[in-house]
Amino acid sequence: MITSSLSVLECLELSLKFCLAVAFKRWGRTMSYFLRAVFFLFAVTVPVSSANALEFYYERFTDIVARNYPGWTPVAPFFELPTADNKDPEAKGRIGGVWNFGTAPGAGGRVYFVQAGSYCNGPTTPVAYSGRVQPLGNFVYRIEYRATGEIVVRGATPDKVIFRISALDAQYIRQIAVNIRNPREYYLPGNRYSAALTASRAYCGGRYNYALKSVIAANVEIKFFVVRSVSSTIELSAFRDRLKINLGLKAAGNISTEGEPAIVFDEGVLAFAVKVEPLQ
Amino acid sequence: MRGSLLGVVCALLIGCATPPTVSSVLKRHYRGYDQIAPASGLDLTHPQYKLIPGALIVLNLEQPATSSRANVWSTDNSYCPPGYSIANLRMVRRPPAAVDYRFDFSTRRLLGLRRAKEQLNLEENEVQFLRRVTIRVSNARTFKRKGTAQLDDDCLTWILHRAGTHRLESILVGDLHVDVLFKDNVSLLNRFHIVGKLRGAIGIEVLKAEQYTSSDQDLVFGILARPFRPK
Repeated sequence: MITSSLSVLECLELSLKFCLAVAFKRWGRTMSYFLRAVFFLFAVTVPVSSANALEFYYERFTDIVARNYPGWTPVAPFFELPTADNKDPEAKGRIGGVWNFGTAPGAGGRVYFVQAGSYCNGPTTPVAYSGRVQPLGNFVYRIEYRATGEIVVRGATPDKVIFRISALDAQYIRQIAVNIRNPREYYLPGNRYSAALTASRAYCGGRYNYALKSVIAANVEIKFFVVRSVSSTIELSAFRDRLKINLGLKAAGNISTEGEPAIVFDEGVLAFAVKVEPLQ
Repeated sequence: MRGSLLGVVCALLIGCATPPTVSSVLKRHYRGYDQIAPASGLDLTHPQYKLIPGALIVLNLEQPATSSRANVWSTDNSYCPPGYSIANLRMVRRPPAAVDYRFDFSTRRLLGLRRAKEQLNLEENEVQFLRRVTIRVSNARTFKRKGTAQLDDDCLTWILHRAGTHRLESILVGDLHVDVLFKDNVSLLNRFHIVGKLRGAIGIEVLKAEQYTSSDQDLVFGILARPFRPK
């Protein structure tokens, strides 16, 4: 995993250097090797616990959504919406359906919703109106390298991870850009939404905590700009395959070597923000 | 005496400085119209589009108006359509407009750099790459409510219980352009990052020039709405 910049590690590094110098002088090589081993174990176990690690991507995304789409809340992970010709009332993302959402802290004191696919639609949930909405700005994560070789992502704190990319692969990445294109908003007139929600609650029971009122979905494209030293197609292909598996991406991934070398995953139309009503 | 004159000039400059935002364009050039955020693409034909003049819609005030900016509203998508489409309404052409902001080093402190950063959602080290930002509106036109809307009785009953219900009297539609002029020698990725934060989804191949324009067409970005009180 990539960890964020760790001032703690810097302090540890300085402390270790001092300790090593003292240890070597007093006790020789054996003790200095022991201290190196202790530091290594500390460094790989302290910064991130997988149980506490947060998806930094979604935290930062709440700020982006709040600026561009006031009143909307991001949802993680993004989910697929039914295509226009899909009339199945039980398809995911129908307006008037009921959901279980958890909440997680985002940037600036905001929250984003966490979903695990726990939802239910009534048997007569209608197809929503869909209209174009202003595009969302691109946002870019900058990956930098400290002089010590540690990977730094601006704005992150020690308990954050980025896309769960291994440190070994992260050294090949210059920058990650998420491009959200052609966003559309899905909603229903008030009485039709109310009727759909009533039917969903009667059909699905009281196990759900939110009603889905509106959704924004768009083409989501993730671009990994790669360092120039990784230029051969074979290397890029292998790297692309690892990214796809590790991140659980759907698209095959296209390699671009014109200008900045990059790997592009076009994930298709995904819902990324919602408006909901709490259910009592 | 010279110091006093300088102070007066500075005060005037600060007072006259208008950050390039959609709400400041509306305040200056399209009086009476507030901003609706996010802007939505115009739909001329569908009768269930939420921003048809005559519709009832619940609005939430995101940013109150100031001397230089109009109100910024959002909606929770609680609405009742009026029973017709926008194509049935009369269109009135409006003149184009622009608001320009120059990031000249010698004057940026006087012109309230911090306020500009907040309005543009940029960091200090991002603003330094910019020479000028301009927001332009072209192809502007308005559509106004006509006659009595045919609201669905069930929808009317449903929305009357909701706070913040307004009637849409008119909408302002146009093409929005953001012109960004970078300083010399700003890297491609920095330009990509900054323009992406300012406006819309773009392709990196477009950013090779020093000046970049991002455009969105046929956006409903201004509304004239009044609180709805049933008779």
